[in-house]
Amino acid sequence: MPVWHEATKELREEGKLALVGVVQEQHPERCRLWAQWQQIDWPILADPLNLTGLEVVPLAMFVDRHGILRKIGLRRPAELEELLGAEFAAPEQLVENRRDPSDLRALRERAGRGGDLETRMELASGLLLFGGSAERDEAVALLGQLAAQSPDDPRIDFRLGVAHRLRFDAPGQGRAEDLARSLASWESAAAARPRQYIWQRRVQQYGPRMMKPYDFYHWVARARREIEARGETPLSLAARLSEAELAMPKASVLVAEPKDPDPRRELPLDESGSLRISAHQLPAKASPGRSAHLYVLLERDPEAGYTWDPEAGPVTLWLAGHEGLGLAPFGARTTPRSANETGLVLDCDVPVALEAAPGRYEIAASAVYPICAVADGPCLRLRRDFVVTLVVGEKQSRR
Amino acid sequence: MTFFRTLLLALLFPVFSLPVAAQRGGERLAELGFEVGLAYPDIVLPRIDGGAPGSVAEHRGRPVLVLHFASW
Repeated sequence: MPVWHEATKELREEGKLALVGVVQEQHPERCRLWAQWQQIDWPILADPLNLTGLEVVPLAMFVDRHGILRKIGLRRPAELEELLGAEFAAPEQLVENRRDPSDLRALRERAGRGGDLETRMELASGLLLFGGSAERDEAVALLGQLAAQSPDDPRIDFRLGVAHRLRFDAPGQGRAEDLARSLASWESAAAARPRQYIWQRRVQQYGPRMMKPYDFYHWVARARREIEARGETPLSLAARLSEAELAMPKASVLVAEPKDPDPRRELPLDESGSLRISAHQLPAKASPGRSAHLYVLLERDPEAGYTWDPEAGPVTLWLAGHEGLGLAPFGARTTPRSANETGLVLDCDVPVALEAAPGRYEIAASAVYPICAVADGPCLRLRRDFVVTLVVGEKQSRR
Repeated sequence: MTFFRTLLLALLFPVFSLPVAAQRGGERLAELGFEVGLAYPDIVLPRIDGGAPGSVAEHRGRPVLVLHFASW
């Protein structure tokens, strides 16, 4: 995109061309940081639900001044010059091809009058893109109904995954059900359409390093540095970047935390039951000889009477290893962004030995976390022991 | 080292360009409404800067280069 930005600068300044971006990613705010970094001054529209239906990006299209599509897949500025030099006559009659999911009132009316599947999907999209938290809940419920009614339509699964992830990332949310359903819905959609690369990317974004075609958000650190060097403040990202999204694609596992945070089992156990711990994996069935990405979610009960203590150090996950999986002990760590964060995710790749048989493997795990009791109470480090179940499927044949 | 890197890129290039070529040339784009000679399928979408919802059609009267992409 920076190539087009540079190549069209003069044309845009002279009013001879407009540049419009349509971005296909779950978190458009990340593209906003990218735009700040690249000093982009043209409008960028967000299509996290893949309403365009495009299967690959990047893809450049030329639209003439009458709104007619003239070229798909421009690759070089010279092609653009040629198109700008051509004379395109106005059509005798322009057949509009317009969809407006922002008009929620009109969509509700149409959907209420016995609207078909497309109308109800459009309503769900509008609610997600242009509504608030109540509309987001409504969209999740609506897409869930549509998925149950039309189980063979992977578009619904993909959008349901987007909706659940949006809710998971929203302030005060971070619930296990949303995390689990986003991963499962995307995996289902991507499996149904292997050539839909934008859907595949969503799975790869949250999947293990071995699955990645490239790193997804490794650029963020460099962007922040360069923006700060210009004397600007980098835009903040509302949704935390997971380890999976920062990882470089490699056929090896990154051991984020090589030390057991409580090797002698000296820390007091948290027996309050106020921290809900769940584990989720992507893919849902790991293949022997490959790895799965594991998400361990720590859900803090806001009523429990304590908060995280980010200043006291990271929250650490420790996996004790498993002989049958060929897994050595290792861990992962993260630091809460705020004392009141509800859902805290620790994520890491888990390699599975080539010899591992299909089945469910129980891995002993522990989490160590610094907390503070609310209302001037003590701050201390606690440990919770639990079990992570990793599901292993059949060995994948080499293609 | 450079030779092997060049060789690797040369071998991989057709693999990476296949998906793009498949969509560009395929009937799938036409099914989605992206057909040369017809109106660009205009969808009103949110702007990433939080401004009013926008669309490509707002720019009628000027040629538009539409860039579909992702920051990753």
